[in-house]
Amino acid sequence: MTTKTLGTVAACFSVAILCGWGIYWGVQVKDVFELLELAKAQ
Amino acid sequence: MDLVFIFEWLDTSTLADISKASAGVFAMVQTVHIASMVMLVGMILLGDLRMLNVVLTDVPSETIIKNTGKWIFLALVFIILSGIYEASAIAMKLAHNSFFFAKMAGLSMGIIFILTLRGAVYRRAPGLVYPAGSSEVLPQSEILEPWVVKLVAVTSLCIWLSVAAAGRWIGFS
Repeated sequence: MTTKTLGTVAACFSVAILCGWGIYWGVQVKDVFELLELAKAQ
Repeated sequence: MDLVFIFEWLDTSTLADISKASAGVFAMVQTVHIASMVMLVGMILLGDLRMLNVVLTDVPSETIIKNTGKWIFLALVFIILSGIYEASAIAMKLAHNSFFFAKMAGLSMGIIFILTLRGAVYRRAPGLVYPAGSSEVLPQSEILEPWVVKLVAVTSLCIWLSVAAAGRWIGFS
């Protein structure tokens, strides 16, 4: 694999992983805050 | 794909009988699991933060990557072995725990990431200083852009911090 290809592959995979990571943990944190709000309301 | 049969098999195994029988041994294995996770994340943090030029900037990155590598793999072996033991005690609880699957997905992704992209990219990092007397010098055409190296370092940090966070979250869910 050439250095240019490696750089492109690494950048693409990294961006994809970071996007997936952001979405997954964003949803988890949102769920926790919703549960906390629900608990406060009760 | 339904993976419950794996957890059912683990739950009825001899390992589960042993892990359920002794709380003391379970606690010791859990200590090994957590200590190994600390070692793994610590070694990875060291390499990634060096690549981000945050820590040990006067130490050649090659030295850090080479010296942390063996500890990363040793920690992984201990994490997996102690993890199987721990999982056997609460197999049926884990079968329906989404954070357990998130941790396993993160762990698999992290191992693949280390074995493929992280290693390959760090070996071609710009400003890589080889040990004194080394005849190994990378030609300019084989050196990656600094932003690619930093992007890989941030990704690696996110993956492993996720594994640690998901592992902790299993305990709360």
